[in-house]
Amino acid sequence: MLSFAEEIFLLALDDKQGVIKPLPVSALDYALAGAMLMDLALQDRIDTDLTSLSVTDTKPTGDPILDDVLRDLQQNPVPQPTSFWLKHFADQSKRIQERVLARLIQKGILKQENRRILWVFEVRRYPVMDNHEVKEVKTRLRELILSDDIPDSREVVLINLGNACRLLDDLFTPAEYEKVRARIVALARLDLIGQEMAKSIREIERTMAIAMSMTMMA
Amino acid sequence: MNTSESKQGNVTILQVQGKLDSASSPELDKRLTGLVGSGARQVVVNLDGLEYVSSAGLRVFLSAAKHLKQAQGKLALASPSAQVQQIFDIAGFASIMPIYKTLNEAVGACAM
Repeated sequence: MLSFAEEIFLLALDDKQGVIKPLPVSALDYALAGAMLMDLALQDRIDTDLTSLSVTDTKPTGDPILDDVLRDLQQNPVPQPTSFWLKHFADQSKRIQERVLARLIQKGILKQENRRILWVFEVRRYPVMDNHEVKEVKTRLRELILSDDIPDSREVVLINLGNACRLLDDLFTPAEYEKVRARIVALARLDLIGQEMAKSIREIERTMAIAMSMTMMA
Repeated sequence: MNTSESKQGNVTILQVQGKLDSASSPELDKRLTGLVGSGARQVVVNLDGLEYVSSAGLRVFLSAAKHLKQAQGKLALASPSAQVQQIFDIAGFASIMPIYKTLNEAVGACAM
């Protein structure tokens, strides 16, 4: 089974181009941070409430990326809000993305290609070698969202991550998406870490929009 | 956390008291899974003695609601404190399972 960080990375990747799709500002940074925390929560290593996130079990998960996050969480003796940790790990997103990519390549799901544009600029692309897991996830999420079934915790996290990065509309026709938008929002709310993550992304988008409008007015 | 079970007609009532967090949620999960496994289909969780619920606790209710729905049953929550209700409101749990102000309302709705 893939980790949430791997799943969101694959969902965000344009399979044909091998590059990350255009996403809201900082969305992937926060989505990866949220994905790692939600993985730890579902593996019963952390718990959260409306005020703080706490480590409840220090036993390693066996996933080196998650275990580094778990170690990092234990370094801070004072409980901090989930938003604090989301920013902390989002700030390390570049390094986390490299580790997630390396693992997807190692698993044979992606391959790395270096291409030159105009014979000068080297561009790195990651074409998908084996996309059966992503296809399965997309099909499962589509069916779940179109039905009135209750999701399991894992599905809630995937809907939350996909919605925060605005990647779920790709699963539906425009008419279908219009009909299911309210359900997606309702399902995405069910996870408290995911809610904090989506809030952080929206706040950054809002700040950027204000900054841009002020620049245009100046 | 303490739990106790009773029945009113075809409705099974699970009374939950104390704190529902990562330490206590496996026990409640086991209890609810056991109820579904033993054939209970209309289940009301009475929360009037529940002081606190964390993310781990929310996941237990989500899982139980899913299993009961798959078994053509129904999970309802009853009489949460204002503090617990606030968490349900923020997580939007009312879109997934009914939450009633009183136990009688919940039992009445499930018995129909």
